[in-house]
Amino acid sequence: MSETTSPLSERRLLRLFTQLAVGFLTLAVTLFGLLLITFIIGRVVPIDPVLSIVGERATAAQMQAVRDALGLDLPLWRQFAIYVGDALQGDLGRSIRTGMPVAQDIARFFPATLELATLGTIFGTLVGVPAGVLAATRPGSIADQVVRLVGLMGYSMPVFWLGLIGLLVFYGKLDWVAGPGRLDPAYDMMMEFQMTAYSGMILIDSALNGAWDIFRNALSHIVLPAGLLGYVSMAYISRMTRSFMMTELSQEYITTARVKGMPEWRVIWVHAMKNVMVPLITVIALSYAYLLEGSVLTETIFAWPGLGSYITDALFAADMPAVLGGTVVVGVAFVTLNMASDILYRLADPRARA
Amino acid sequence: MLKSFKPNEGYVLEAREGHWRGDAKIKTVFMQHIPEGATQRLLLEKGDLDIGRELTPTDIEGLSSNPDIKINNDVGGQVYYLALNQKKAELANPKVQEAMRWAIDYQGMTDSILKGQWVVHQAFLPEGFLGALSETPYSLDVEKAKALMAESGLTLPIEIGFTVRNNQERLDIATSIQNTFAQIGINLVMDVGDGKQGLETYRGRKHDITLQTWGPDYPDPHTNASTFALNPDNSDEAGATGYLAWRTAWDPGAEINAETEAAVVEQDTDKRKAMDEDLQRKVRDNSAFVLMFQQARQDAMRANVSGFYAGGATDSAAYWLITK
Repeated sequence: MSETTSPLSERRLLRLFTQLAVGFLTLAVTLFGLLLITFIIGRVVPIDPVLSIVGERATAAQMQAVRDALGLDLPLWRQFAIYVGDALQGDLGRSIRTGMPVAQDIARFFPATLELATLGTIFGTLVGVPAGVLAATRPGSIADQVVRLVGLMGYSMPVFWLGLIGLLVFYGKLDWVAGPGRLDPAYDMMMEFQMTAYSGMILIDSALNGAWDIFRNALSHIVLPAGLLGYVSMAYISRMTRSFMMTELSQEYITTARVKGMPEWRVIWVHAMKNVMVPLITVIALSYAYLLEGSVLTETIFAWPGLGSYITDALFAADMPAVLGGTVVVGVAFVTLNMASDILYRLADPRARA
Repeated sequence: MLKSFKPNEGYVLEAREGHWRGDAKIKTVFMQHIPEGATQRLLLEKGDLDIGRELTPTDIEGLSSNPDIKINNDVGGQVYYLALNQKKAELANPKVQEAMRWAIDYQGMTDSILKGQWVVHQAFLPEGFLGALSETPYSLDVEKAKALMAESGLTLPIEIGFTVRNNQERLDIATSIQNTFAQIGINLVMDVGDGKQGLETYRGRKHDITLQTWGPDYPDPHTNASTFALNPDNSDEAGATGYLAWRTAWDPGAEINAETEAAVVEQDTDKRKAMDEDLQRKVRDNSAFVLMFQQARQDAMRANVSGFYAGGATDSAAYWLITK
C-alpha cells in the first residue's frame, strides 16, 4: 500500500508556509520599527540619563566619564546599532532605579502580569461568551437587561474604585480572600528559598513543586485582582458576543437549520458559534493584549509587582532604560498576540484559508 | 542582616544572633512595597501589617480615631528652599531677598496643603542634626515685605522666572508663593517641568528662582553646610555643580567659606555647634537661599507595636528595638 499526497494539500501547505513567512517578516519589521521609536523617544526626552545615574553631587568630570561609558557622544546611528545589537542579545540596559539589568527585572515582573492577565482573560471569556450568547438569544428579556447592566458597570466604573471596594468587602469584611501581594510573607520566603522556579508564575511553579499550600495561598491572593480584570474584560467580551451572535442569528442559514428541526442549542452553539468565533478571536486577543500591557491601577491597589507598575514607577523616576525595555517587551507581546490571533483566525475561518 | 531583596516588591531583614547591642526581639522583619496608601490602611486595620510608612495625610486622619492603631510623628531630613540666581541683578539685591523671606505664607501652607508632611523650618540643617536651628523668625508680613521692596530701588512690578517640578505638592507651594509675591510686586512666571529637567536648569545656572528640596547625605552637619555655605570658586568655568551655592551663583565670601571649612575639623562639640548655628543664621538671613520647611513623617502602627524608631533626619530607621 502506498501513501500519496494530494496536490491540493501540498498547495495548501505551501500557502500556509508563505503566510507564516509573511507573518514573521511583518513581525520583524514591526519590531524593528518599535526599537527605532523607543530609541528615538529615549533620545528626545529632555532628561539627561547621566544625571539620573550619577546623582546631584557629581562633578562635570564624573558626568563626562559616565557619558563616555554609555556612548552618548557617539553618532546617533552608531548608538542605535549598538542598541539593536544589545536588544537582540537580550540586553536592554541596566535600570537606574533598581540597579539590575532591565531584562532581569522584566523576567521577574512580566510573569506576574502574565499570570494575572491570563487568569483574567480566562475568567472574562468563560463568563463573557455565555453571557453574551444568553443576551443575544433572549433580546429584551430580563437576562439580556442584566447582562447589559453588568457589562455597563464594568465599562463605566473606575477600576481603581472597584478594586478598593473589592478589597474592602472580600478581604476586609468577609475574609474570603487574602490581601494584596502575590503571597503571604512566610510563603514568599518558602517560594524564594525552598522551591525551584520554572516560569516565575507562582501558581504554576508551586504546582510543579507539589507545594499545594503555597498554591492555595497564591490562588487566594490572585483571585480578586484576576476577577477584577476578568470582570472588565468580560464586560467587553459579552457585549461583542451579543452583537456578533444577534447578527448571525438573523442569517438565512440559521432559519434553514431551525426549519429542518435542528435542536436550538445546536443551532446556537454549533452553527452560529462557528461564525461568531471568527471575530470573537480578535476581540479576546485584543482584550488579552490590553491586560498584558499591565493594568497599572489594579497592580497598584493590589501591590502586584507586575510590568505595568514597573514601567510606571520607572517613568516617574526618569529611568529611561527600564521604560524603553518595558515598552519593547509590551510591544513584542502585543505583536505576537496579534500574529497568534491571525493564525487562529485562519484556522477558524475557511474563507481565510482559501 | 539582609536576607532577601526584590526591587519594587520588598525585602526581608533577619536578626543577627549575639550582636553586641543585644539580640533583637523580633527575629524577622518583612518589608513590603505597597504603593497605594488606602491599601496599606486596610492591611493595618485588618492586622496584617504592623507598621505603615507610606500613608497619606487623609489615611492618617482616618486611622487616628481607631483604638487599635497609633500614630508616630517624626521628622525627615529633607528641607524645602528657594534658590535665587545671583546672576540676575534683581535677585542679588539684599532688600529683595529679605522681602521674599517675609512674603511667604509658611504657617498657612503647613496648616493646609502640607499638613502632616512638612513643618516650618528656616535653617539649612534639619532638626535632629547637631546645631540645627529651630528658630523661625520669618512669617508672612506683606506690609513689611512691601516696604523692603520699596527700599530696593527697583521699578515694580518685576517679572521673574520660577522653575518648578511637575508634582502636585510643589505646584501647590509654588502657587501660594506666586500669590504672595505678586502682592509685593514680584510677578513669578512659572516654568513647570520634569524634576530631572528642572535640575539640569538649576545645575546649568539657567534658572531665575527654583523651588527645590535637599536631603543630607551623611549624619554630620557638614553634609549640608558644605553645599549651602561653601563655594570656593563661583566662576562658570568651575562647574562646581556639587555646591548648591555655586548652582545659584552665590558667593558666600571668604569668611563663610573659611568658617564652614573650620567647622568640620573642630573637635570641641560645643564650639562646633556654635559655628554651625552661626553659619545657619548667616545663610538664613543673608544669602541666595530662602529656607522654608522640613519634612515631617507620620507612620501608623498597631497599638501593640512599640520600640520602633522611624529614623529622624538621618533617615536611619531602627527595627531591632521593636516588640509586639
